[in-house]
Amino acid sequence: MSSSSSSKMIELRSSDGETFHVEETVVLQSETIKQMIDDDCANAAIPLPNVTSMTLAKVIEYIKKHAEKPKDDDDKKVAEEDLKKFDAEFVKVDQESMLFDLVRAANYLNIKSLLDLTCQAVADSIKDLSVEEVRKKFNIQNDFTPEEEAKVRKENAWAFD
Amino acid sequence: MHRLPSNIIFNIFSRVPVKCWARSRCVSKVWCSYIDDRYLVVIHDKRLAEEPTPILYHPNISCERICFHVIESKQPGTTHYVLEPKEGPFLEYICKEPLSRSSKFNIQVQGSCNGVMCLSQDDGYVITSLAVVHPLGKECYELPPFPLRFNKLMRRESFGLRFDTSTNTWKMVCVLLKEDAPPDKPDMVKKNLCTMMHVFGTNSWREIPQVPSYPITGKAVFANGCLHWLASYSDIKTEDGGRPVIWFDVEKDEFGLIDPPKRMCDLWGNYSYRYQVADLNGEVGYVCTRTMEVWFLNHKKKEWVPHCRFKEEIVPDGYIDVIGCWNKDGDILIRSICSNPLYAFYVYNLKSGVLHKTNLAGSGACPDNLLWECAAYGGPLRWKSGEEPFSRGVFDDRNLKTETTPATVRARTYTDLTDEEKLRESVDITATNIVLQGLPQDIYNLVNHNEDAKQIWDRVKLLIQGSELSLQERESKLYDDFDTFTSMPGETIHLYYMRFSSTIIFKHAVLQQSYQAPAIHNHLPQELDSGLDVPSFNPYDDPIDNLNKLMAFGRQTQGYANNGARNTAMNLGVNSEGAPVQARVVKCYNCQEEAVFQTDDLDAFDSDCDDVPSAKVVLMGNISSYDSVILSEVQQENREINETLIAELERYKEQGKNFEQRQKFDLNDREKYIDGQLRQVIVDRNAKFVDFEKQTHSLKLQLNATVESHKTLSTIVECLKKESKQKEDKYLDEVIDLQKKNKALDNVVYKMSQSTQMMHMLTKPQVFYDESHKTSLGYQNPFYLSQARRKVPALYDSNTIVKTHVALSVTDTEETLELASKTK
Repeated sequence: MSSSSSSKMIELRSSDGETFHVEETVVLQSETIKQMIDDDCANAAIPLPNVTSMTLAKVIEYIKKHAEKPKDDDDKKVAEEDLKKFDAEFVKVDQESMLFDLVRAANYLNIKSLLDLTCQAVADSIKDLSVEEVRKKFNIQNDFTPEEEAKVRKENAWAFD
Repeated sequence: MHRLPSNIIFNIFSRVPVKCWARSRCVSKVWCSYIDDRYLVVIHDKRLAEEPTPILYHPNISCERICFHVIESKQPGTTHYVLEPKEGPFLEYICKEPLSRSSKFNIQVQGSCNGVMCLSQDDGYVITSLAVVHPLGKECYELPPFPLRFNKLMRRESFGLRFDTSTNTWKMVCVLLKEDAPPDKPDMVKKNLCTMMHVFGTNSWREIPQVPSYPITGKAVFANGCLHWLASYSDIKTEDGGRPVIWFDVEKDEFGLIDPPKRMCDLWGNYSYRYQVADLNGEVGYVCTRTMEVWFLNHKKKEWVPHCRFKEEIVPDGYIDVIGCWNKDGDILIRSICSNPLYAFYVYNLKSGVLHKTNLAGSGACPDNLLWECAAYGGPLRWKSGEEPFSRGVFDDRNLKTETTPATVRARTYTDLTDEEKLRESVDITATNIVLQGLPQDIYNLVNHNEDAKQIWDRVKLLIQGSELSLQERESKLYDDFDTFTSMPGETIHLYYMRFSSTIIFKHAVLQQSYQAPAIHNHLPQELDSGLDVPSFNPYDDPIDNLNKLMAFGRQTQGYANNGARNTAMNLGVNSEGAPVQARVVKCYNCQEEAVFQTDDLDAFDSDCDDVPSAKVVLMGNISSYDSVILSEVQQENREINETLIAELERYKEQGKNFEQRQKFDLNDREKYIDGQLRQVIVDRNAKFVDFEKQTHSLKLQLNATVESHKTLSTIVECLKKESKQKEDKYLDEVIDLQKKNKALDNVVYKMSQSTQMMHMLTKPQVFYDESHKTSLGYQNPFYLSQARRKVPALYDSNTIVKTHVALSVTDTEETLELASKTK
């Protein structure tokens, strides 16, 4: 019923109370929201209690960009390259925590392309880090005893440069 | 703090190289468990093409342990490549204790799949043990012993390790030829093929009914859910000499055949007919060294797609091994076998199509090494049940060790012995031969299982001692027999004599056999030694002749007896004069023994003598009354006895003749009678046989009729079954449809008026699978939903969410205000 009109606006509410109005066609990229619309539960504002307004703004920027449809074939190629550039720029965030927030939001809203993009970005960032740097970046407590750590490091010695 | 859900962690890890995994294992225990999760391998495997397969190198330095190193490939210039083994072992595998020091053994990599690799240990001919190791998790799983023995000559069998994603189990497949079959008879070969499968975590191999069209050989390539082997060269030959590829579908347990690709260019020189299947970044590559062409397998269409062609001049004799892709660009690493050094390495640059020679840094002369590729490493094996097959491996600080089983150590061979031991061994063998050759059969049977000469000798001594004892026993028994030798009541003279002479012969034999025979001979009276001709009897001789012989012997002994009696009596006479005692000595020369009876009463002795039959020559003497008169009387008596004996003998002769005649007559009569009876029986049987044939014919007819009726009945039953099956299927489909509809409706009803969070949880695609509960880990599983609810109830309660985030404005109507004032 509600999905029949293409210009319908969906209201999203972030955890800090800010509301965003997004076109339904755009927001359908999120599997979670798509399900809600299909089940007719999206008539009021959709609360997203674990996405901050900053993250939500970023996500909406992403899905809006990806919702653009090229008109013809020439346009398509240009658009594809454009999208690639956009993606590369998109994951270059200033704060490291922002990237993780994006990953979580993409996971929560179930936007597959965004999840792949952000996960790849995280993977690329940790690929060449040392163990200590990884711990710092992910804020992980080292739960190995010194002996255990020595052992596990010896076992995987081939992987260190 | 950046708490990420596990699926995101897996997603991230699936995008980093294996090397980063190994590093990440050092971060924390939680990360270690993530890396070791088998789920990671499965999703990493899907992104295989994103990362070149690590290439391992093992310098064959020590026999007992094999050390695999990861090879780093460097490209300092555009045309220059360097292979460099990394320091620190990637995997160190300590071999099982070799069976004997002299026997050869090899470790071979049989293949790899989903991050584990299969190593086989063989003694040069036959594979003795199989193990699967997981290099990253440092785990080792030893396969149970193979139920069938490999044929060392044929080499027409092969293994394949595979991962079944449908059941999440590892499986090992082995195809082998049970018996040798000539390659020109494909039917026979196929009949003898046998496929064995081992599911990891179980204890044994089992045979599965599917077999490939041809025997397979070489290493398996696991790609796209299928194992690929080359068909054995000796069993199939196409025009070009190409060999088809056999594939085995992991999930369906099916074998298939792919024809070899058609060559596109001319053959080069007289290169060997070598073909190879290789794993090229997760795809099946087919290499033909005759044309130096490489194809890729299009998995869906099962077709070969041409990939590249190597240049001829680089590879001198055309004998190459494609090891694998060594980088993302698909450049191919090739090993060529030449004489000095043994191997040369080339890298084929896919873009420029040029082969570059490479060096293996640090390997020096590179005497004998093995380079191979291992398909993506990933998470280790996890097992469904509590059973942990890897626990058999023992891991120390840095090495992976396979537990050795000392119980199976084989006895040493001759070559393993020291000089002293060799000498002892050869002397022992000579001694054993000497001892065994001198033994009678019965004793040999008792001792031949003993291993060394000492044991045999001890045993023989025991046995022979026993026989010495029995010899003495026999001797004493014989002497006893002589002493008490009497005739039986009613015994004829013939039988009596036979008995007597046999005793004599037996004694002779015993005495001669005996070791102390000369000593005993000294005790014998002279008479026996001096030419007493003991007659020998043959059971086949004429009894009459025997009797004659006996009579002669009797006479002889009698003569001796008389002489001996005289001599001894004289001696005794002297004695008696010196000692006038009323003692009587009786000498019985027949027995050739001296027996002295002291008796006060002559009459008593006489009455004893009355029992002795007349044929036995007995001399009785009273010392006081002994004279020649008595002697002559005795002689007289003997003569009389002889005469009676001869008469009796004549009578026996006559009787014997009569009996023979009678027997002959009886025999003829009986033969005729039996012949007649037999004839009758045969006639009867023939008649009965004809009857039986008639009966069986009628029975056969009946049987045919019943079989026909059965057939018609069974076809009817089949039809009915089909019909009912169709109906059943239809109904089942309907039921399933209805259930689906019902579910969808339920879902819609449930989703009404639920919060976003709930929607998210409900609609999230399920990626995990909980092995212990055999259910999905997602929130569609009510177990997890309820758990999550219990933990943070606020998140799942729409009322709470609305309360915290939406300010509800309640406007009071007049009526309610009124009511409020009233209640106040």
